[in-house]
Amino acid sequence: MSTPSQAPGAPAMSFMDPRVVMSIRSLELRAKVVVEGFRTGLNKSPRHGFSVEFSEYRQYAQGDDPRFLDWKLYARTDRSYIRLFEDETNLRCYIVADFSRSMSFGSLEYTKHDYGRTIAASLAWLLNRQGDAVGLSLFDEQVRMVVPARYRPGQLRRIMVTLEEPTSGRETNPEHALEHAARRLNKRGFVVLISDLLAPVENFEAGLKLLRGCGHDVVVFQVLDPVELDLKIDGPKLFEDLETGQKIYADPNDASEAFVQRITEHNDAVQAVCEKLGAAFVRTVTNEPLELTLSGFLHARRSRR
Amino acid sequence: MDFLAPLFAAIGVAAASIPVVLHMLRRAPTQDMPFSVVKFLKPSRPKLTKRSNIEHWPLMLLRILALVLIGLAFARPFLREVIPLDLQDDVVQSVTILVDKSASMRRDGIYEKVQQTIRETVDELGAQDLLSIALFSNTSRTLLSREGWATATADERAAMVEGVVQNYEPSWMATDTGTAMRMAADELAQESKEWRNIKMRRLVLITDFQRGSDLDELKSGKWPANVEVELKTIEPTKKGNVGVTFVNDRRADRIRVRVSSAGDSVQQEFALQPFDAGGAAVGKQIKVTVAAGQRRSLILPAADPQAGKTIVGVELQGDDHPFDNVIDLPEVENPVVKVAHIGPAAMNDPESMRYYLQRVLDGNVERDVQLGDLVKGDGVVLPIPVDVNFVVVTDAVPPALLSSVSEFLDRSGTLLVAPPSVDAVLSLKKLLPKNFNAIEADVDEYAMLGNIDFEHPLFSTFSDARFADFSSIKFWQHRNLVLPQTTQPGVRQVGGHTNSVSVQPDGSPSDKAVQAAVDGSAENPQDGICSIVAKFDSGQPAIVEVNTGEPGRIIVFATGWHPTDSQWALSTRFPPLLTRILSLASPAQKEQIQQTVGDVIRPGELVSSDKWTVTYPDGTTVRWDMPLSNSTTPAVLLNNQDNVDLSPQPVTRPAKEQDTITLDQPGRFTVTGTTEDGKYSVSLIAGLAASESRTEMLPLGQLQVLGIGVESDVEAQLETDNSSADETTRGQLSANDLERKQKWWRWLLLAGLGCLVLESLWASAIERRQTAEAA
Repeated sequence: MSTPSQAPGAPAMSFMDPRVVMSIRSLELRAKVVVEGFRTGLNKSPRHGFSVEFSEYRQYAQGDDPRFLDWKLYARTDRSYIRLFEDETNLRCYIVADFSRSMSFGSLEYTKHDYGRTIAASLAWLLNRQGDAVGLSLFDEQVRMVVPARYRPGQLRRIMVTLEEPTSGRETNPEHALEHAARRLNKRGFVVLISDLLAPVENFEAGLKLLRGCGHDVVVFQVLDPVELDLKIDGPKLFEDLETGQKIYADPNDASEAFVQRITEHNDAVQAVCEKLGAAFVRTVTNEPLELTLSGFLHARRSRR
Repeated sequence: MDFLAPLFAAIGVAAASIPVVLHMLRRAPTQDMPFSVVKFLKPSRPKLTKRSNIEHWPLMLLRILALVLIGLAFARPFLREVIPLDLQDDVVQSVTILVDKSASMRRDGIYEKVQQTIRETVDELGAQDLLSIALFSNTSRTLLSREGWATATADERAAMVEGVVQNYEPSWMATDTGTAMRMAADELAQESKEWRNIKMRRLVLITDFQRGSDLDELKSGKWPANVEVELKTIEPTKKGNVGVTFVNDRRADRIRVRVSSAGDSVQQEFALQPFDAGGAAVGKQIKVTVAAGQRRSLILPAADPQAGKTIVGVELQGDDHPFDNVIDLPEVENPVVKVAHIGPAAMNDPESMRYYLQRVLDGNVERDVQLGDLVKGDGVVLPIPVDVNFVVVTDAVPPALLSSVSEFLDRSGTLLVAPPSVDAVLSLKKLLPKNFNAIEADVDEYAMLGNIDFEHPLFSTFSDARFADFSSIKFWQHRNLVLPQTTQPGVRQVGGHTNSVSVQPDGSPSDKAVQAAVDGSAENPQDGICSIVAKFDSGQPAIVEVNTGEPGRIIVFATGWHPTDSQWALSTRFPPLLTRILSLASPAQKEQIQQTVGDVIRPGELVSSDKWTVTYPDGTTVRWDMPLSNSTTPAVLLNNQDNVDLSPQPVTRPAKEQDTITLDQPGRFTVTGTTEDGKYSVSLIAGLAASESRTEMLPLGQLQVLGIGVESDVEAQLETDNSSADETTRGQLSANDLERKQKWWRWLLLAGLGCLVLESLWASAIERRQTAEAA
């Protein structure tokens, strides 16, 4: 199933070509392929050994909650240990995915929307397999659909079906979606935001601040198309905004320099906000292998511990 | 090649340069592209490139050709055709001058203009041209024929035209322009076959072209293509007009009129002044405000009866054109009808006949009826008032009243006798025929009406089978009326049936007399005639009409309608029967018929007489004293015969219509018929047609809308220019005719559309090829 093709800029490792992955019609199967491919390459990965969860015993110290003492171990060894990560195995994770019309752009055979929801499906599949409660929230200018975070049979299927929704909306407003996720997570949780983040930074910063203020871990995936970074298009075009309908006649030969400068400034601002607020930030371009995105996610998770 | 509308040709040629410019310009090709971050893009200026070389030459030429051809088609081109000169001497135009003489032409300033326009139109004609002049209103009449014109010398022609001009006088008739034009056009078209050298047929219409002109006839068929119409409109010195017309009201005791203002009226404040038979004003003026184009109806206040004046007409004041401002009105009858009652004055006793009589008369919706008792409760007896035409007797008549009743009958009064007893009948014995008698009948359980003469005026309203059932009325008791019998068996026809018999005048109620009464009516030439209107099922008379020889009449019932005698008062047939008798006794109104000026009447039928006289509003009298069958004998005109002769009668009239009269002026006509019974008059009030008051002018393009080729000023000028520029073009057809005949525009338009189709096919082929190459 793997192909030798590599995404530009990708490390010289064997990853599946994203075009091949995207050609799989079933989203669930696509997620499974991505995660299993990721696990297969995990042994060879320099990021080997990291996981979403692991158990550990720590010696009891004054101030620890005695409810978490492992009494069986105490009976065997006569030492007081605390099971530290039992709560983490019941991690509550919300995937907040952008379904605005700007996500329907794609210069490749697939769109950012396809790429983004594959990431969402893969994460959901991965977390579900680990026994974590996974929820999903779709948004454009407001929250459109919500699947509450659960760990029960059928939850993964519900998420997959919800991810089949088409794009909608006239603008992107991540602030509402992040606020909504903050309200739904009544105890410390984990929020994954998947969006192109092309909306004004202010919209997204307020929601992110709220999540972080509530103590939730946040991983931000910025999904971009290669053209959105370099504007490499042949000939002048009448560009029509997918959300607002605004039409601008532009010749990429003349406009690309200013465009690259503006989009770079915007992306830098987004990344700066994430770093400032302590959220993990992963920028992924749709021609990159999906496994790299997952490993980026795990890396970000690890760095948050 | 000439053009009727050269502007379009110029536009087509100018538009031909557009494809050239477009083919030399090339806009940078653009392609729509949906994008997610348009806000980060900086707009570029679209680039237009100018090419020195033109691509797709054939395509450009096709486009130019299409524009030019379509422009030329709209310019309506035609080629001049010259008729050989040797035919010029034979070219003749036939002209009919149609002059409006309807009532609206009576407005100030029109008369002189019409005369001047007729003279000018005739002066324009050549010596070879044919002329006919006709006047029209609701009908048309030819005053000058083509045949007479063709054979007359120049001096005679001038005299003929001057005669027509001097005799022109507007009438009071309505306008039927459509019919007059249709007749004149048909006549012109017909003549073209007889006069082969006629090359032009023209109808000159001299009219005020007011909105009330009736053009409906022009919609009925196709206008002859070879007849042109030249419209010469005449306008009065002052615009606007207001007219007053009579409107029928449901109630006979009030008068309603309508004031209509023409659409171009300026004034809005007017006044209505009623006047009496002498022309003197009655009452105060009534202020009326009517805006232009609006109408308003109002009821005239009733004249004060104490003043003794009667309103016979009303005049509208404040209008500049008085021709439709005075109308005659029907005389309003006395709104209250008085009925006298001889009998017990028991107003609230349901056992008395008066109780039911009062309720029937109170229920009359057409008129107010006032019932008065002649025999008061204290025994005082009053004579019958002179304004009473109907007296009901429900008891024995006091002897003191008999002389008054006799006088009442002399005044053509109607006496209804409903005797509750034999004495009631016998109290009137002096007024009844000799030997008229009554005895109490021996009724077995009850009696019913068995035989009714539905052709008698009393029962004619019940003649329909739906209302003819009287079998539900039961009579508990009645009197046997014994009718007189003469020695001569006189028989009177009633409604075509021989239901009258002669009865022996022996005065005794013999079986023979009863049998005679059963068989029909009895007649006594000396004392009167008895007609049996209805009989009981036993054969006894139930209702008898007695004609005593005096103008009045006596109707005798054989029973009363109170509950003691019968169920009659409770029957639904009872109120209509009493109302019918009341209407026969007091006719609702002196017969007055509303007509419109121009209506044709048959006076003989109105008065049911072969001898009649018609008095016109201006005092003219027309008398007819010959039987209708001799219809070829004309009416004898006593006065002002010429005036009647000027009425717009059709030129030819069938002999059987010779006994008709045309109401040719507004006002009151009186038709008096003479029969064996005396004279009978009918009053006819002729009012001006309401359409004549609508004097605002119709749009001048109205005739073109109806498909009539009206010669416009542009075409007239074109032909004038051509004739002055070149003598050889004298024989040319008009530009309009040539264009209509040649119809070049059709071919040009077809060619232009063909070019467009070819261009579309070519362009699509080029695009497909370019797309394939790009792919």
